Amino acid sequence: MSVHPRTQLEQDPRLWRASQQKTGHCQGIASGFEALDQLLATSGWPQGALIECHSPLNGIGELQLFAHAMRQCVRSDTALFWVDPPHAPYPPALEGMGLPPEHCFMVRTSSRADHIWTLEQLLGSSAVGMVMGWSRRRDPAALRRLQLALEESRTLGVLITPQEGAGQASPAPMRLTLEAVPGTSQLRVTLLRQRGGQAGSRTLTLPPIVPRQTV
Amino acid sequence: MLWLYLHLPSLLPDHHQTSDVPEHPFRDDHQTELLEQLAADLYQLASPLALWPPDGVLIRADRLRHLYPQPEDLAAVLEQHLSRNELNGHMATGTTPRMARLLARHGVRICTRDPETMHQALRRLPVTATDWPARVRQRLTRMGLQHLEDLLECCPAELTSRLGPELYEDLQRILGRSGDPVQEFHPRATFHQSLTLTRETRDTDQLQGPLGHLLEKLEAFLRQRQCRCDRLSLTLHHPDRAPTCLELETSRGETRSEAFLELALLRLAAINLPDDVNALSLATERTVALDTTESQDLFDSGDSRQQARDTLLHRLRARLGRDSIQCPGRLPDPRPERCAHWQPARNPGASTPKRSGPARPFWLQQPPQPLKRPPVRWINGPERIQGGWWDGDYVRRDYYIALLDNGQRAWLFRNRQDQWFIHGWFG
Repeated sequence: MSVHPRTQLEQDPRLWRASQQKTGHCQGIASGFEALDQLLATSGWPQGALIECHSPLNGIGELQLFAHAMRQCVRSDTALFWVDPPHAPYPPALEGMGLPPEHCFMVRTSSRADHIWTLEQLLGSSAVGMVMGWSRRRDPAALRRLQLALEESRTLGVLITPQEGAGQASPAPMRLTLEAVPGTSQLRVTLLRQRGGQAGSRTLTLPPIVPRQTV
Repeated sequence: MLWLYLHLPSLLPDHHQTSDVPEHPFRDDHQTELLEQLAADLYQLASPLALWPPDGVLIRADRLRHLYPQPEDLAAVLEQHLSRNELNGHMATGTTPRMARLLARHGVRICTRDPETMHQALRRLPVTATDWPARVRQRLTRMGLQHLEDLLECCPAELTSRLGPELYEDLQRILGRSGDPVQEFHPRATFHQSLTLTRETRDTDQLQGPLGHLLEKLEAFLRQRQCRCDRLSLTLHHPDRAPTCLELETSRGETRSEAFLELALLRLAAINLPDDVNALSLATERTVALDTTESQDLFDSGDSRQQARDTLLHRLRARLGRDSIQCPGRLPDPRPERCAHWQPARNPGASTPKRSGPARPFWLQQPPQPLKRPPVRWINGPERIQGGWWDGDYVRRDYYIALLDNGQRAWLFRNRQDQWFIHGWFG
């Protein structure tokens, strides 16, 4: 084994000192699911920490999981951004969720570089409450850049990536996988990692799409 | 009256004269433009003033007595300004504009309030130093009239009969015995400046320096006028090609050159320049007066979030294109695919009252996908939606919400032909 001189190690961009890590007091935004909040170290989705979310499919409740946080952002008068979603969010549904149109923005980018740049700009801005990005490909170096941008602000950053990358290393402080429970309106959330807390898994019952009628 | 004339033998800075300046598209107007720039700067120090193209500025010195008690003080301030801008000039005072001009052009440095001194200097001026036509000057020399004093000693009637009435009238104007109208200069209300690059380049890093220089001038312009600019046009000139024009927009108007530079660099990074750039021009398209009622104190936080959001949107637009940022809009149409759309976010969207009605999916699948396998559980339905008879695209669909076998919660519909489609997902 060769021993690197200290300076050489310090110049390696893949390494950073633990002291550079901003532990800070991450604040959480309640997820709206009590069982999940108990599992999360910040009692809610952490602000200023990238949440990498592996989801195999759309429409299994991945937005319901963050719906409460989105409403919180709107209530605090900050903007919501969706970057390169698989489909355009349907405006009547946004209104039904209590998200007024003046706070909602969708960004379409044409290249990978623009996609990362846009996310970086949004995550680092104080005017943005929450960013949801859909990346078709995982790129640990880009994730690291996004995490650094996010540490400067108090934005809630969610990056939805395909399922395949769940086994690879990632610089995101929080990683989770989503899985639909077949035949039920339930979503299994597996927390692979979180800063300052334990990994774990919870099965959440999603709120009914049609509110139960009272007769 | 007392006038001070500033003669600028060449307005180009010294280092430009020595180096080989490449030809650029606005060579003809360049001298005038430089003169106007200089006059606009001097306007702050000494107005009223007038332009005397191609190379002179005339200042009404007697109106500046409160600022500069002696003409020497004014001259010192002007000299300081010139040396800061790497220019050299000759200046002289005169009781008439023409007198000051003739003295300054001849290189007589005379700054005084005493009319006698100025008149004496004028008398000693050689005839060849005047701005009369060469033919007249030659004739005067041949007649043995070397200096202006020789001319003044001649009989007016004789001068008129020999050389025509124009020369005599002009002499009277120089001496101030007849009027000489002067048009006062006022700086332009809009900013338009150009800059020639010493080297042609298409490298953004190399363009950054000159661009920053132009933008700093813009900042000074805006600060002087207490206004801000919300739309700028930047033109990049190419040697043998039509120029590239870029529009820079800021949200609420901006004054700082750094903010403009950032936007400009983002725009430049997003486009491919077709050719090398040899000159830049910058013009303001719209300026807005600074609102004095806006609070500018340290603890100002009222609108800062909205402002930060607008700035962010403009930055994104600068790189990604104008229509890349979209916000939701609604249309009064019962058909799901037509009742809502995403439109380029230009003006902040109007808030709509909270919608109450049947549930709608978060993701709309457009066009609808045929349903392959039957759903495992029906959650809600049917909800009939029909309409569109007015534009020929009639639809009548029965919508259902159902759980698919892979766990997706879908919005399904059955059309009039009993075919099933997926039209969206509840995310």
